[in-house]
Amino acid sequence: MDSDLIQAMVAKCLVDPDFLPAPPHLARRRERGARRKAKPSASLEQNKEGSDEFSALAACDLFAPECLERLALFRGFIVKVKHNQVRQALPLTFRLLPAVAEELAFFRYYAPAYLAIRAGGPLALEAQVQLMAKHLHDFLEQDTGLARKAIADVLTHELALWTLRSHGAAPRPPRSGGAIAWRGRLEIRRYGTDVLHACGALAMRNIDPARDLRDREHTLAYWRPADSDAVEFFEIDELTAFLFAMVDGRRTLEDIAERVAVLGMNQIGVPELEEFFQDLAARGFLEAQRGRVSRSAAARRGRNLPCA
Amino acid sequence: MAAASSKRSTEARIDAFGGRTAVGLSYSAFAQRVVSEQSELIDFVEIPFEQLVHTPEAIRLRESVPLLLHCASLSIAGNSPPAPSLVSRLRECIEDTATPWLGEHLAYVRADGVWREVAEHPALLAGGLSPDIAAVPFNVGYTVSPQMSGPILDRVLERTLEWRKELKLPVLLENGPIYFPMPGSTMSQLEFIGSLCSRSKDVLLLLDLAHLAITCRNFDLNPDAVLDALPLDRVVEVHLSGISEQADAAWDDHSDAAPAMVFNLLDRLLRRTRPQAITLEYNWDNDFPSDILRRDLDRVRDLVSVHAG
Repeated sequence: MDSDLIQAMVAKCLVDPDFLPAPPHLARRRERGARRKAKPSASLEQNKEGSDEFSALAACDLFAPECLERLALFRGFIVKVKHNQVRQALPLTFRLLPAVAEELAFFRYYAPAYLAIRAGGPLALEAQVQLMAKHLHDFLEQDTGLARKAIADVLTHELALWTLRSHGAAPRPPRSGGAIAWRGRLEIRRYGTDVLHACGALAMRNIDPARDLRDREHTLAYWRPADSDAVEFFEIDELTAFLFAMVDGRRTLEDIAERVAVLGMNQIGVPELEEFFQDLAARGFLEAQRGRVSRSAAARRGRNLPCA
Repeated sequence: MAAASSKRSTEARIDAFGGRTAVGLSYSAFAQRVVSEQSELIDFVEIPFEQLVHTPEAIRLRESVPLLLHCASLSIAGNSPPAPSLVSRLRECIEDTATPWLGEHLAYVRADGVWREVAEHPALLAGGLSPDIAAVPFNVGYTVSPQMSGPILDRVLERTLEWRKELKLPVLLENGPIYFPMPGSTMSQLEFIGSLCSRSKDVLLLLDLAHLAITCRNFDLNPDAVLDALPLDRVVEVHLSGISEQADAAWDDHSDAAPAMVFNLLDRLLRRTRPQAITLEYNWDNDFPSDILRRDLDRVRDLVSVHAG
C-alpha cells in the first residue's frame, strides 16, 4: 500500500476526533443515545464503532487492534503535550496524574473532545484550563477509588486558587441597609481526601500514593482580599461554612439568624452571630460601617423581617 | 560560535564550540530563568523555530547565551512541504540565531488528505485507482515517526540534502520515539538511519538517547546493541530527557529528569564519539527543580570530561 496513504491515515487518526474508536464508556453512551432516538427495529450496527469511516478503516485491516490502541494513546499523549501551558495553573494535578498511572488514560479519554473544540481555533489559556478541568472531573467520576478522589480534590484545590488569582475579588454588590458583605472574594470547597497533605508531598516532588493519599472529610475556605493579589486558604468546620455561605451582600444578621433557626440551632441567636461576624469584620473579611457589623436598621426598630 | 556563524556554506566543517562538547538546555520559561540568574551553568540554549514564530522576543536570549535552532516544521518524511512563508521565516531565524546547524526531526507533521479520497473511492484500497489528491492536509502539530520503508527513506535523504543546500547549513536528523508499529514498515529505525548515513556523508544526526531508549523499550530491543550499531561518528548533537512508563509502554517526558538508563547510554556513546553539543530537554515544567538541573549538568560534564582523553 502507498506509503503516503498510510501516513495520511495515521495523521487522520491523530487529528480527527471521530476517526479512532471512542473509549468504551463513550461508545456505550453513544449506543444508549442511538437506542433512545432510533425506532425499536433500527439496527445498532451503524453506530457501534462510531463512524462509517472507521468501519472502512477497520475493514481494510491495515491496523492491528493493538496498534489502534497505541494510536489512541499517542493521540492522548499529543494532547497532553499541547496542554503543557496548563501546568502553570494545575502543576500539582499534572504531577499526581502520572504518579497514580492515570495521566495517559485521562488524556486518551479527553483527546476527542479537545480535538473537536480545537478544530475551531486556538484556545486561550483560561479556556483550556476550564475545558481540561471539566473533562478531568467527568473522567474521575467514573471511578470512586481513592486515587481518583484524590486527583479530583487536588484539581478542585488548584482550580480554586487559580480562579481567585486570575479573576480577583468579586465586584462589591450594592448593600442594602445592614446587609453583610465580603470585603473581597471567598470560595468554599469540600473535600473527601487529605488534599493539603497530598499537595505538600506533590510540591516536594515526593509523592507516594500509598503513603500520601488518604480519606479525610473536611472543608476549606479560599480568601482573596479586595485590595490584594494574595490568596489564602484555611480549614473551617461545617457551621462556619454554612455561615460563610450565607454572606451574600443581601442578607442581614437577622436573615441569617432565621436560617440558622430553621436548622434547629436555637442556641445561636443574633447576639452570637453579631459577635461572630464582628470578629470577621475586625480581621478585614467583611465590609463594615465604622468598623462594626451591626443589626439592621429594621431590627433596631423592632420590626419582624421575612426570610431572605 | 564565530566560525560557524560566518560560514553559511554546506562545505563548512562544523566546529560550533571550539572543539569542546558544549552542554545546554532546551528553551522554556525555566531556561529563561536559568539564563538570567545562573547563565554560567549552561553553554547554550536550544530554541525551537516554532517558539520564535510564536514569541519573537525570545531571540533576545542570544544577548546572554549562544543559541541552537531546533525545528519541527519541515515534515521531512511527509508529502506536504512547508509553505514558502514558513521557509522564509525559518531563514530569518537561522540568521538571527547564528545557529551552526538546524536540528530537525526524522518525522512528518503534515500529511495530505489522501484518506478522504480513499473513503470516497474504496477501490483505492485495492490499488485500483490513482488518487487525485487535492484535499486539505492533516496537520498533526506534532512529530510522527514515519514509515520505515524504501520510498520514505529515499524522500528523507533527498529532502535532507535539499534543505542543507537551500538553507546553507547542516540539517541534523533527530531519531523520534516510536510508540506503535507503522504499517508498511520494512526495516527498523536503526536500519533506516544506517542506510541514510551510508548513502551520503552529509547525513548528520541529532541522537536523542531518551527516544532511543523508548523505542527499544516499546519494541523489546536491546538499547546498548542498537546504540553500538548506529553510525555514531555522524552524531553532532545529543538530547537527554525523562521517560514515563504508562499503559505498558514508554513515553517521552520532558517534565522529568533523564533516568539512569539514558545516562548509561550517554556514557556508552561518549566512549566512541564526541558530539559537539549535549542538550537537556527539561522544558515541559516551568518549575523544574534547579538542584536537579545542576546535578544533571554536572553529571553530563563529568562524563564528557572522563572520556575527553
